[in-house]
Amino acid sequence: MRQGTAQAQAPQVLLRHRDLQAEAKGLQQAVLCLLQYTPDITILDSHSLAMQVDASLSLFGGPRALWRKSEQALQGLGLNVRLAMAPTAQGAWALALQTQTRRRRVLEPATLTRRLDSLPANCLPALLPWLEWLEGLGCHTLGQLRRLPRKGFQQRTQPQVMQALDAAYGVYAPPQVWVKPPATFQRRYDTLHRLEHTNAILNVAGKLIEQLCGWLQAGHYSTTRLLFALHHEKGRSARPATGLDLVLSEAAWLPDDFLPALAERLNRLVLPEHVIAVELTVDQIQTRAARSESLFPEPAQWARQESRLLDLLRARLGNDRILQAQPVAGHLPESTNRWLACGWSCSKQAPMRSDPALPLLQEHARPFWLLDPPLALHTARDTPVYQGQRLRLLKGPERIESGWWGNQGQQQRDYFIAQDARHRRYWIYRQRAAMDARWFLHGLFG
Amino acid sequence: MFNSPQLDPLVLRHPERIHPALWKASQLAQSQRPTLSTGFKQLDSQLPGGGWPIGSLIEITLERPGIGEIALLRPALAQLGTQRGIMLVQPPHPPNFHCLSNWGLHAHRLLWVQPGNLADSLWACDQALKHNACAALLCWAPGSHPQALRRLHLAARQSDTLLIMLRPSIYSRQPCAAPLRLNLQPAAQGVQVFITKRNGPVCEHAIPIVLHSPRAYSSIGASHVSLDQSSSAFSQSRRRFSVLAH
Repeated sequence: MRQGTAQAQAPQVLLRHRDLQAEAKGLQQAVLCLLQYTPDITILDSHSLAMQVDASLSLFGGPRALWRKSEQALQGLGLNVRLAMAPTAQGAWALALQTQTRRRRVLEPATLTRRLDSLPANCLPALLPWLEWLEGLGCHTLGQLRRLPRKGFQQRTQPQVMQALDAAYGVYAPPQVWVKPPATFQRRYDTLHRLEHTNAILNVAGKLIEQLCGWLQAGHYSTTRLLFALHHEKGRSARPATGLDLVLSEAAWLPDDFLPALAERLNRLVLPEHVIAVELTVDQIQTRAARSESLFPEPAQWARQESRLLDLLRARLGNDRILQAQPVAGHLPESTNRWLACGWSCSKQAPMRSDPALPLLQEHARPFWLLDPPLALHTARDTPVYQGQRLRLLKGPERIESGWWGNQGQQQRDYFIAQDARHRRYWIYRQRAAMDARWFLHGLFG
Repeated sequence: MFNSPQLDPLVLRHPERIHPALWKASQLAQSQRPTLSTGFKQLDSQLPGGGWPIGSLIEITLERPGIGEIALLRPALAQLGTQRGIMLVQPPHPPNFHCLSNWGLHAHRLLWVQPGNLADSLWACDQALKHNACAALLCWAPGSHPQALRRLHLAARQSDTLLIMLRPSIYSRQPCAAPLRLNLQPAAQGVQVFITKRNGPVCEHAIPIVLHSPRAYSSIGASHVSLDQSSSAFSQSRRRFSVLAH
């Protein structure tokens, strides 16, 4: 049909140039995304693909659930798809191409035969060159075509036509060439609009992550690190792409493992300029460890929950906001009580056993809260005063002298446990070496 | 059971036999959730279910940090399994790990989260409860709205975490969704616990909790003697250093 004819018949039609490159890219995206559900995908033509799912049905909860999942995944990529499901690949293709009915899901071979018989002949792409000839014969449907003498039909057409017909009806199983996923993963998504909000970037990144997960699934890989590059507009004020590293403490391969942490990271991100493309690269991959599917919670599952939680907290609060005790052997309480940022691998460490760094003291020898830095106390009539209350010494002194090598110099302290009139207890010390012996509050008994 | 239109007086006397969620205002409710013994008999007998409820918000108000609030929780924390950690969100001062190891809690994983503002603290608590990743969650979030506390309580009900919110005592007058609210006052040998809200009758009297025996703080002169005596009770293998660091 010519352009003018088309516009005369339907003036509301929008005419677009066909972008073959974009079509091929879309098909590639769909293949990568669908690799999450089955490794056996074959490309039928430039805009059709077939998945063999009989091995995936029970894992994904049956044909309906798998249908729904793959439909959602493809719609998430922004593709307009027409899905069909049938016992044979050619049959499913024919069902997808037909426009008679919206019911495109057939599970029984007998039903498929009945449904195919009523379809018009143009539903099988292999028959397209012979369509006019078939019309002339009075063959409108595939059922009428099958009633023709087989030998004569074969002589008048090419052998692949008969093969396609047989493959659709399940008489003949043609050999398939499965798609091989690429060796490395690096994908770039050029957006249609300039993105100004991180929510929009999250949407695009979600599409890339769907494809990444398909790729990881196909190779039985997992990864802990995703590198995003947010490309900005080129031109007079060109600026380098904004990098965004998403590091997880545990190797993952499912979209739900990456997306919450990514959302929190993007929430914190301040975009310097519009984003026109998002690129996702994965440089470290590892073979995955099998997860336990048992019913009752196990220690490994608790650890996984915890590492997920820590990833989320780290993504929103920052690396240095989650601390873990790493005590050091020493006498000065403030240098012993070392808390370090909980690193990427902290959840994998075994819980600390009785630590040789810390001597075991009496239960009430040390306070739970440690003031940092120690608070200088006033004195009244030779007794320390805190918040207007005189402190009565209960126990002590415990002498601690240490740290001549450190920045603070030699510390000579006599520690006491003191109490005020309202029975609140304090851990205070007197600095001995100073010219004037001063009192400091160092801890509270929580 | 209800053949006659008149209810059996025996049934009315024990409404919990009709449904475990029912109780009379004069009696303590049975806890719907598993509970964890507080380690103090006087307190256990006053709490519904006989201990801290797990998977429910517990509010503890205190005038100031450092009056024995963690020591009160210590027996309960010691009973928790070591598979999951204990998380402290926005504590008022740096916690001292040496004290925890003296208490025998060093086997528990301890995480200190310092979000920096109230919204992030509440978000961190919410996420920890949703992931069900810690055995106990101690949160200091003064100034949080009652709605935020209700949301935390609902999140806690989906988890099996011991959730304790510690707030200044000025908030004890404000409404709060927590089914169990306590107020702590320092006392000579420990703390006085006032139960401001519970599923049961009003608790009018304070519950004295002994956290440290008077012998632990005998007079200054005798302290060396008492130190020596108690230190001999420790097993030799675990002690590498002398008690007094010189």
